[in-house]
Amino acid sequence: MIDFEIDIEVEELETLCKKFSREVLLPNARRYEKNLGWDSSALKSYFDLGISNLLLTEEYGGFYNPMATVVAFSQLACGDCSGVIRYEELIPVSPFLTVIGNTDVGEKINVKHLIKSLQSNSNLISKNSTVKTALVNQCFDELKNEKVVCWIPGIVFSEADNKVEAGGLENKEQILFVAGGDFVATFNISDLKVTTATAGGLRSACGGLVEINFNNAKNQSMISFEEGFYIRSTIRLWAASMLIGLGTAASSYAIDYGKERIVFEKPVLGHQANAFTLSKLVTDLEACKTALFMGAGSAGSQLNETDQYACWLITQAYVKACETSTALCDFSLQLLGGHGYMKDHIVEKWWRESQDLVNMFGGRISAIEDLRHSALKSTDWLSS
Amino acid sequence: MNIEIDKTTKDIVLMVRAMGTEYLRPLGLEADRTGVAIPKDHPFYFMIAQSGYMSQSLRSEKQPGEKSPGLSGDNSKASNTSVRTVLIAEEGSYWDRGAMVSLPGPGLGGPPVQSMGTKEQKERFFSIFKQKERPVWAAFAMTEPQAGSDVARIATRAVKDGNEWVLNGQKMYSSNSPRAEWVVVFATVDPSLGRDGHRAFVVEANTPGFEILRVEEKMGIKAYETASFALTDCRIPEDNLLGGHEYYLNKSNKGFGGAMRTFNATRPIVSAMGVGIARAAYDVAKQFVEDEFPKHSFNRINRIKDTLSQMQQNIVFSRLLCLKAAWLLDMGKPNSFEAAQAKLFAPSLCLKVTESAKEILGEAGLCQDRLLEKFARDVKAIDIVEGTQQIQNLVVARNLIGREIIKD
Repeated sequence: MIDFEIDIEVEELETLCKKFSREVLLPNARRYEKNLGWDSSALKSYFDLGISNLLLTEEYGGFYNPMATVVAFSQLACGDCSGVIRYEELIPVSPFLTVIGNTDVGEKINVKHLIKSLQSNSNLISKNSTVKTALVNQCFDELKNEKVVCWIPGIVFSEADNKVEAGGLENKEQILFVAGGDFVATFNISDLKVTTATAGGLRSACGGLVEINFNNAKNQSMISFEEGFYIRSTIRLWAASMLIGLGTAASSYAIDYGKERIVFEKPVLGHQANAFTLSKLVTDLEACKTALFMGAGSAGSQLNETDQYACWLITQAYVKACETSTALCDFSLQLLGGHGYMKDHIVEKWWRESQDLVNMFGGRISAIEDLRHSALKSTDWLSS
Repeated sequence: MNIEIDKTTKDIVLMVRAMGTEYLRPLGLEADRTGVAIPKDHPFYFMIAQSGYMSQSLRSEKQPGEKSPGLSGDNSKASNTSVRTVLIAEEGSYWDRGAMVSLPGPGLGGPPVQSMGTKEQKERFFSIFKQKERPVWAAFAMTEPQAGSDVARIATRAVKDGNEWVLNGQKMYSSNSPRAEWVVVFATVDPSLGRDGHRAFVVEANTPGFEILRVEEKMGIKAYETASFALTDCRIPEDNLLGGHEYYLNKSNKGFGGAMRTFNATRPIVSAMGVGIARAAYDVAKQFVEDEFPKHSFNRINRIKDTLSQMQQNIVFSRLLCLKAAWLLDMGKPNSFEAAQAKLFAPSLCLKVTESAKEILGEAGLCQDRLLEKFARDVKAIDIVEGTQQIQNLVVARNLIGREIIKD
């Protein structure tokens, strides 16, 4: 029977993440952005929450749960989206491993062995986390000299120059590259031209810009559309959650501000033009959220390549969230006028982050391309 | 979270689908061509009555959300009447929204009796839908010539006289009222009280003073009658005041509260009708693209696929919002915000879907045999009935920002 109820455990997780986001991350978000990272006490609290284990399958020591992922990251994004990305850049490691680990490329680079060896090294892993190269870079000196493979989750080409953006490249030897989810290749980083790039919005999240020359690929292989779609959808589930979190935060901020700020002798949100725009955008965001929840929920405890309808729902939610969340952050900034442009208000950070999320982790254009594959499918509920 | 439809609902939807191919669409097209509603003595309606369809939307006497055996006999599940009605409304409207609305049953008259009526009133007014011998209808009337979206302005007066109520006024745009056994009429006991003065009455057919003035000529959805009627010294028993006198002593049950509860139930259903029409338009466009695929360039096909994909998004997201609002109602939870969101979101996007379908077909989309221009006319009504898009915006804004900020 159709049911929109969320499990009590997931609700409890949402409450925990909300508390951490509001009480720890948000008040310090400016400082974290300036320092390009969180302080150690925040990191400890973060990993003590056990969030990272939501993103790994049981096989790799986690308890992957799509619904928990959605609620957790939509809350955390309100606090510090950039930081979450920095510390969770290996999020898609499980779907990658599931799909790529069994391919020729996966065998040759021995990804499973790599992950397991990292997991078994207590010096490299905090109490409740698993593979965290970015975290490790910051917190554990021991790994500074490790030659760890860097994963680029669901990356897409920049439109020009074959450039891709990759986080956490420092001290890494090899790079695994997934283009559009149906092409996999590994490269020696020393063969690549890497330039430092710091994105405007996700300032503390981004690492370098890599120029790819396919002639330098060490290994290449193709994976099916279904497998690739599943990988990308897993990443989009995460990205869409954060977009929804940003949109929700921006709308709440706009409401709080708009009830107090008097313009033309009444609250600025008392003017119908503003109120109606907000209503429409919040409703659109609710539609994204409902679709994302349904996608995550219908996948059960684990999203896999057989969940093509769930992947479709998640990708549609991501595309809509890209549009709606950026619009809501823009509306919120605009409602504040000049104040919105200044760093006195957190809304300008959310604006930058939402803009950048649209281009990362699978990207909106890539998602639209994926949806073309199912454009001629039925919209009949009974055949979905 | 569960995306599955239970077996009983699926069976009913499949029954509506079978009925749609054979009856709803042909009858709807015929009505659209002639401009005349399907006659109430049409054999199809007798068949519908015999199928037991008229009582399918009636809830058991258990409260919403209360565990009940339900039609599926599964004791672990709460009522899913609203979710089921939403899915049926979508499926029926896929074939023809006008013919779907014309089907015998309590229609929009059902929700106010359901939400406000006493046990005795429910028994009395709903019992006629439990028989299977003949088709019977009910109706709902709120709109007046001077009061549309601003229902606080309704001027139909109700005055108590002994053990009767005397109604005077005029109502318009009431669906199926010319053939209804009874009509739920909203009237005011004191215009100076605004919405607090509203009361809901059941006016039975053939009551002296109840007179159909005219059946409207509409742009679309012609298979059912939409009528204006007058109430002139129309006397009804005091027992026909929905909920009885005691009901209105509770502040939250002042007249407009009852109307709002009606809308909370009907807005997801009406919005789902838009989803059904949009789905039909999508299927026409999809078939056209499949047939014409080889004739177009790769770039053009990709662009069209992107449009189709956007149409799919609009349809599925609209459906989910309708279902969520209905599910909340079934769970006995407040749903006025979600019902308004569904009504704000779905109709305009469903209209957009039909427009996109027409664009994909180009001039061919204007041909009557393609149905798209009819779908566009039919779906436009969804954006108006049960509160326009602008009214939904107001409801959503007030929920978000507060009534003290967004004033009347």
